[in-house]
Amino acid sequence: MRHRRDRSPTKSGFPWIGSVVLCGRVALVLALAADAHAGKPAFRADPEYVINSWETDEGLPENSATAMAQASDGYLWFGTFEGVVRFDGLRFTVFDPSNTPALPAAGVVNLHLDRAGRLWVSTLSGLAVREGERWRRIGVPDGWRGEFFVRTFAERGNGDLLVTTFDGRVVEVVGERMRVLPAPPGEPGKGYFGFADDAGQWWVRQHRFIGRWDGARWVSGGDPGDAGANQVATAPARDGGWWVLVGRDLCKRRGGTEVARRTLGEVVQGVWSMSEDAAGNVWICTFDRGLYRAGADGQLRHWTTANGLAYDGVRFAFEDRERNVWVGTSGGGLMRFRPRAFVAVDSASGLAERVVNSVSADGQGAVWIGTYGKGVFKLSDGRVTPVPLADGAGRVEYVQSVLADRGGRVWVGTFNQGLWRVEGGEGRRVGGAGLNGENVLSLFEDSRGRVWVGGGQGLWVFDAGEFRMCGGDGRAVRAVCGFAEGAGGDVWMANGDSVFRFHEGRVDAVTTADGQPIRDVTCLKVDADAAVWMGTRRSGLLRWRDGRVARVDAAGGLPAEAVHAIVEDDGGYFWMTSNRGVLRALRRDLDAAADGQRDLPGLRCRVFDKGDGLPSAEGASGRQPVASRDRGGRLWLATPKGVAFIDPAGVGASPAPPPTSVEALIYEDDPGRRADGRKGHGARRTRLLPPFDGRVILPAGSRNVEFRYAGLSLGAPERVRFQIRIDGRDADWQDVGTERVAHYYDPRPGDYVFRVRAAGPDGAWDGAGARLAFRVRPYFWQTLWFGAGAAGVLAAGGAGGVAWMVRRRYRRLTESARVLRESEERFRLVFETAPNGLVMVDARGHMVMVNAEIERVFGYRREALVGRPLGTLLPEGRDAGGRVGDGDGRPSRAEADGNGARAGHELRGRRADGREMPVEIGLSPMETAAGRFLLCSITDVSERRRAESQAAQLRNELAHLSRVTMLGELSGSLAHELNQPLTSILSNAQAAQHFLARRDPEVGEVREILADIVAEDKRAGEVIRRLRALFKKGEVQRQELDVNEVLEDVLKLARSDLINYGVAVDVRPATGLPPVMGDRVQLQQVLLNVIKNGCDAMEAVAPGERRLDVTSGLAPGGGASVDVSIRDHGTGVPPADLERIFAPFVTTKAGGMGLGLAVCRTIIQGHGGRLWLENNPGRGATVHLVLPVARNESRGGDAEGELDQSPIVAGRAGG
Amino acid sequence: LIAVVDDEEAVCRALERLLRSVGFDVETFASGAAFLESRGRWRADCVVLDMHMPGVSGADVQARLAAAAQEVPVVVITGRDSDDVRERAMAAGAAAYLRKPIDDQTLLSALAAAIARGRTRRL
Repeated sequence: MRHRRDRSPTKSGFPWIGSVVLCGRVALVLALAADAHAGKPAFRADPEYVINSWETDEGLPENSATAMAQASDGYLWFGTFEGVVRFDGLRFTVFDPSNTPALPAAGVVNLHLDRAGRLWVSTLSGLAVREGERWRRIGVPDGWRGEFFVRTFAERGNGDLLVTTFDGRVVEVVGERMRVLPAPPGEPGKGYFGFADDAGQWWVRQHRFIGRWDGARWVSGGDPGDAGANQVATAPARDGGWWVLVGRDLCKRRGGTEVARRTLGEVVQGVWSMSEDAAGNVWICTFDRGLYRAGADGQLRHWTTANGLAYDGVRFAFEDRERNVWVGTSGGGLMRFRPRAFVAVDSASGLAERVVNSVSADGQGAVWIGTYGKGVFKLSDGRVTPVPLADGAGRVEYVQSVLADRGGRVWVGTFNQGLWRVEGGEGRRVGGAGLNGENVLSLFEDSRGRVWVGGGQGLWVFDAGEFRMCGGDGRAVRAVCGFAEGAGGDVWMANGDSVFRFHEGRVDAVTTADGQPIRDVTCLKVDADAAVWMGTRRSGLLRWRDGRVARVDAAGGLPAEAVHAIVEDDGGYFWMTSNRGVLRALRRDLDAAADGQRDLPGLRCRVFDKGDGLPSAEGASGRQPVASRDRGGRLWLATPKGVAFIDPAGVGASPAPPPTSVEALIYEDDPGRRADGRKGHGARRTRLLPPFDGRVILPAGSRNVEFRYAGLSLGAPERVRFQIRIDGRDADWQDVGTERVAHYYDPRPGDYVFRVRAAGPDGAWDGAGARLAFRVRPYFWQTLWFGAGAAGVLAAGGAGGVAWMVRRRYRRLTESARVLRESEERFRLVFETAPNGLVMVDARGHMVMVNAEIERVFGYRREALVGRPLGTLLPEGRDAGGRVGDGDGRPSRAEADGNGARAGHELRGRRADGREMPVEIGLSPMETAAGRFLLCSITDVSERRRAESQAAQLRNELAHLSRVTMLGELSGSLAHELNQPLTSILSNAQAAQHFLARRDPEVGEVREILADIVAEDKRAGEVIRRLRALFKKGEVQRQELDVNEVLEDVLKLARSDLINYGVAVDVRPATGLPPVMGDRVQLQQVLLNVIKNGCDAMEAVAPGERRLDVTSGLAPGGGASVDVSIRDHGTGVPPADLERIFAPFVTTKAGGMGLGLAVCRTIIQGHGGRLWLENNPGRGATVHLVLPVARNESRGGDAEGELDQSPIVAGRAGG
Repeated sequence: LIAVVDDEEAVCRALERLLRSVGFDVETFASGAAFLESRGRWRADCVVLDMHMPGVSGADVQARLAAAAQEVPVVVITGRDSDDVRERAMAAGAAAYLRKPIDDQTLLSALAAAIARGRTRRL
């Protein structure tokens, strides 16, 4: 066998287990998050390309990309200064000297893929070449001094290479032998572009020299022109010959003659490299001035950081076979320019409003756009201009529908401003009083030139110069949002509640065969066979034909729920706007799906979304027209984020499914494990890489077999979906979504074939896929011949030494096997019948075993779980922030109730049906012969949470009740607090009246009075706000609170009472206290209660000595809590009562109910804090209230630290 | 001269304005102690006295005036009306007991009556 075997890069095979055990939630969450694929590039706006970029954050080893090639198997290879990278669109696999010793250095200057499929790599320390899976070091030519940085590679028909360096030297490579040619006579020290002509002669070009090598010397090839050193480049032309750039002249030369010329609008400075794409555009990359594209149409486009480029230093522009142009920068990483299928018209094009409700193309080549907010715009000759619509009664801003009819009129339906018509550039209201104020949702012109108007209040038709209202059975047909014309001139319409047909002057509801109205329909389309297609809001597409309704929805393969508009192109495709992008499907395929034909490989339906240039996946809905075809056949769509158009003819048939390949097979075995089952030296992980010759043989005892595979879509890899099947295990294909790893945990000895196939962009599974045959060898005692042989020997009854030995050996073997089996059996039994859910997870975070309880709780069959990431059950793990909460940073309900998860072991679990539930998980690592695993116990704690939540609710009720009781006690104080500002206001106002009644009123005085009134009124409002806040009964709102602020509020509320009691308060708040997590109202309640108790305790004390000392500060012991103490100077509490008074219905006061302190303690305990009372050394007592500090800040820090350490996040798992 | 004693500065200012607007001379005091220690105490024709003040309360002021046998009429104002406050204030010889917020006519007529009574007593 020639398979490469290498040890897994991480020795333990379980890189994250340590951190899980140590750091609990954060690490687990990150380990799960690490399962996500590397590239999550950001969108950049460009009219022609969807531009994405990848930097180190997305898994690039380093932020420069120096050169690129695409191998015959579809992988992209590119160089960085931290290694050569193989890229499948999602994952970066890095080759550097640490894993590929043949590479002389990690830094890669240039790459070249030769005709034989070998990859040449110019590193900072010389050349290396990759052939098949093998790397060889070439190094530098003998006697070479200085740097050997390759500027260009050129190749001639026989495979020889010409290598030019940045410092102007030229080397010929024949086979793997290098010969340094004499330096050409250009400017010394400046690099050349090398190329080969059809005759196989080497050419070099520099700004001072162009010429060829005649085998002995350089021969001038003509005038090099007068361009500067960095204004010259050459690149091979797609159709033969060479592109040559000299200054602003770009020409194509073939066989010594110029065959094409483009004169650029400017001299491109600092040229680094040049290339041509399949559309004939020549891309010019510069050292520091961005990227140029000399278009086949003569236009020069220029990208810099100002318009979407990640970095202005560009090393290469490389077009892959899917026609994505990859751009490597010197510091901004790798970029992809993906040609847009849809071209967007948005604010960048002059459309002042994003929200577009309607779009309509007229017969003159203009497109009319109705926006919700800025009226109507007209797009013609590439210019967007607003169309003024205004009359004495107002301006039209909110447009619902716009229709350009065949007569050259443009109709505009507005929101509550009726119907307008644009003629000769001027708009005016039409339709008379009946349509005034109408909300016109839809407009439609039928084949007889009638214009149908769907209004919120009724249905109108404009026929022969007159408006007429149409009704159905005498009732108005309201809010029609979709029209279509059927056979014989019938007009169909839908308003979501029903579908109607206008036939022979009557509007009648269309019903299903059993007389039910057809609900939920918002758009209509009649096809050439007179079938009526209906788009619904929730249930896909309906087809009405001859009174029968058939459905095409998610179950039938339609990848969307809502269909907002249906337009047919000339190629028989239906284009549908939906809630999930634009869908394209052949009508005959939709018919087949509606007819319920099941012999299809699924409905072929291609989805276009933002990655294809759509400004928004969701189209405009509930109006008409929202999609329109122009006279050139282009399709225009209205979306909430602008207008987009596409030329359906340019899209063509869907490409074939992406090629799939098996990238690695990884298995575990224990080579030291004795055949008798005794434990060996420990598990070993072995990785097999392609090429796989014939059948792969795995040793006996192999376990946890892992298959890594890829589907090479470089344009939209994140959308590629897979199916896998293991012949010998699975009866049928299994959908695995976008997962790129499959597992077979415990294969029995035998022959298998692993198969994987990818779905094409239209969702069909008809690709050939990839396969990998493998055999798991048995232990010899697992073989049939051994059993039969041994039995035969025994049956023969031979008592000889051989038979005895065999028997003894066999007995020992079978005994060991039995013990092993029993032990395994016991483990399985315990595992299976455990009362809580158990999952065994492997080193990659994939589930290898689940028990019955997991199946019950999560509603999955176990086959659906084994091999999938643990995140399937615990999706919250994908929250990369590492915080458990409800997404916007608020603590989870469990935490809010004061029973928050301990040590980060509580997460949310997701059931198969999508419902979520709180779960508690326990983790314990297991060391087994087969490797290290993590045993997770998962317990559904919904019931417990419910009970806790009920208890919390009761507690809150009680707290509220207690506050209401307090209201009675506080009312005097509050009345006073309100009466003060009211007094001031009233007296001020009346004073002002008196002043103003004078003959010469003093304005200054009145102004001051008014200022006081305003201030006092606000003060009164503040009192009421505090009061309302305290006594309202609402949800407990846990938030970060400054204890001092709460204290201040409470003292304000109690001020009057304190005066009344004659109690002086000495407040000493500590500065810079960390916030605590708590409910403001409840904490106020507690503090009020405690203060009031303190006052009560001092009733017997002489008025001048009644004092409360209120202090706040960090509680002793590590700063994890804040302590608020309220010290009175009263009589103190008998030691026996210190605890008792916190019990309910225990009171020392005459009128008290004895609930105050009990409720207070419950509240504080609910906050995770403590409340207690102690007698002072002198006199009186002190109440201590200790609350834990809010924990958020420290958590964020941990999460970052973990991220840096997570080895999987770095995206270098492959290789 | 009317002395206004209230710990709330805003109330003091408002009452001062109100009384000035109808032609009284007014002096304000921010606490009972400030009033008792001032010379205005002896010049006032009437005292508008808040009951509810920290430190020296309105009741304290009444008691000290009584102790000094100073028979200046007192109009008591309060934002915290209660039976026993009212009783104690009236028992201590208040000319009027008014609840905040106070209507100007009520205050002015109470003042007029109090001043008249003071004069009568002094005569």
